[in-house]
Amino acid sequence: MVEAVSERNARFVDHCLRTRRDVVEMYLSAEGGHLPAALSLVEPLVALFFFALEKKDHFILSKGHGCLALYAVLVRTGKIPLEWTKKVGHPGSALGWHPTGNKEVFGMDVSSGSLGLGMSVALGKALHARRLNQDASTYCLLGDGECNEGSVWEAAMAAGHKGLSRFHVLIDANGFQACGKTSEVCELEPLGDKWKAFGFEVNDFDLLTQSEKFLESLLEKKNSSRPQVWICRSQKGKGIPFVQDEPSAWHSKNKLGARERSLLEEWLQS
Amino acid sequence: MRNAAFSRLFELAKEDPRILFVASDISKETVEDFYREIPDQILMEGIAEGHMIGMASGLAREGSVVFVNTIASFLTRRALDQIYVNVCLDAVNVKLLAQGGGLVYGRHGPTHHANEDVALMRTLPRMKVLVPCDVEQTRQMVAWAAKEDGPVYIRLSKGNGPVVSLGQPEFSPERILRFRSPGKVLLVTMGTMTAVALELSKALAESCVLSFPVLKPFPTGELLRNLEGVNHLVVVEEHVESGGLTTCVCEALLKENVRPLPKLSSFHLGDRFIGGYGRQEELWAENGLDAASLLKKLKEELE
Repeated sequence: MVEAVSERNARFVDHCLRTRRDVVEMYLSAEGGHLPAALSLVEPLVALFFFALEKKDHFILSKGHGCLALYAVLVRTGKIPLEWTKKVGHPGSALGWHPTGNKEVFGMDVSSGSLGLGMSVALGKALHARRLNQDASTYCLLGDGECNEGSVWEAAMAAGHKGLSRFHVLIDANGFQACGKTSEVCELEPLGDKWKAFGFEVNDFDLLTQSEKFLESLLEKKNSSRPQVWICRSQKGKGIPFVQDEPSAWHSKNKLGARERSLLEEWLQS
Repeated sequence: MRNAAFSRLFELAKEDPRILFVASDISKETVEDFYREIPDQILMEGIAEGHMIGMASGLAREGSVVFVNTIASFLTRRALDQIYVNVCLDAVNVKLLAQGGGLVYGRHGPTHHANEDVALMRTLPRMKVLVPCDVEQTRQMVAWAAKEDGPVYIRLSKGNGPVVSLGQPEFSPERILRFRSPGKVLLVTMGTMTAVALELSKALAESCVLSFPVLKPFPTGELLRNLEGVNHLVVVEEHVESGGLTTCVCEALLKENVRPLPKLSSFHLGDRFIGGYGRQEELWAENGLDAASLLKKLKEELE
């Protein structure tokens, strides 16, 4: 039976809420890491792991520091055990503050953390599918700050040149990188025009107001014949007001202070 | 050597559709066999070394055996992070055919030299580092690499030198090549400098030459087996002092606690950029790595 759109959207919103809470719990247990970058990844990752991705497909998180959100959806979709996400990055933990490739885990077989490397690997996987006439779709999730890396554009040029089908690049356009606004560090706009010039079809969504439309479009274009870029305009720290207000201060923490901990614990109870 | 590697790779790829060849902006004539007979197994990429490695990694993860070729300097230095993360860290089946190791591109200048490639590749966990001494050994190494699971680096040099490996056992990673009868002087070398060491050996009484085709994993046992009666160990290499054959030999001697230690002389490219221009052999001579210069220095040391 086909699920009604309204039911699907309700499920999407619900998964996003739950995933966001999982991320915060994981972060508290890890006592540090990259919280705001993970929070803005929630909608794209939920759209992919709960709705778009099939077993035959490929996913690479190129923006490795957003991995808490990846771990959360991997747990919720039964791909890794919940135990792995306790005290992430601590001795004995199976997972770190950047993902190390694990061939046994769907969606986490590629190491990332050194920015700008994922898209070429994704392209290789997509080429393999094309060579073998497989109908696998390949998705690669980048950060907007990550687009500072020249290697992103090497891969974009090659993907456009090869005219890859079923090839999707999602950009978590949260407008911030480690030290400040992307527009102040190194202007990316017009981001869509840049990708268009490299041969991509551009899909630009404000995920604060159009997340269901984004999901619908992502599913519709799964088998598109041209490379697709999805500019997912979001907010660093999305969903938690005090993190959204100070995205740079929260960007990366090696140790969680008492104030931060109590704020997050309060948020979880709210 | 590049052509020898390509032709062997072509033969292997015809037999095994899993083998792919990723090259960077090279003349199609160089690889016309691939385009004519197995066009689906060659990918000609632009001038983007990092991207090539990433893409090769993606292809290899899905079951292909991917050989990547470009110039050694750009491959090892420009794409080092991709080789580390996308190939070695994730244990991916990518083979690097690096042409122009050492001073092959001598006339092009230091941007094109690759005198530290062995050091860079040797420090990466899981990477195996091979240095063929001639075209015949190159062909054997390519065939071996195609069967070997995991990352392999092959430093290619020029192929117009003498074929010194004829009559020697077929390439295997545990085996080294030994020339001439054992004597008091042991010349240890790698790659195309083997021919230079042989020339030197002929002018030195009681000397023997060992050529190491594999720098990692270093066949320490082979070195130790050949140390009996040796009182002077001479390393000759086309590489910076740090991280190449000299380092491998010193590590082996110390780790195995060899006593008494033979006198050690080491001839290499030091810790500097090689200035000036010229053919590879001319730069060898300018930097004291030709047989005549080596003989002169060794005689001075022996006096």
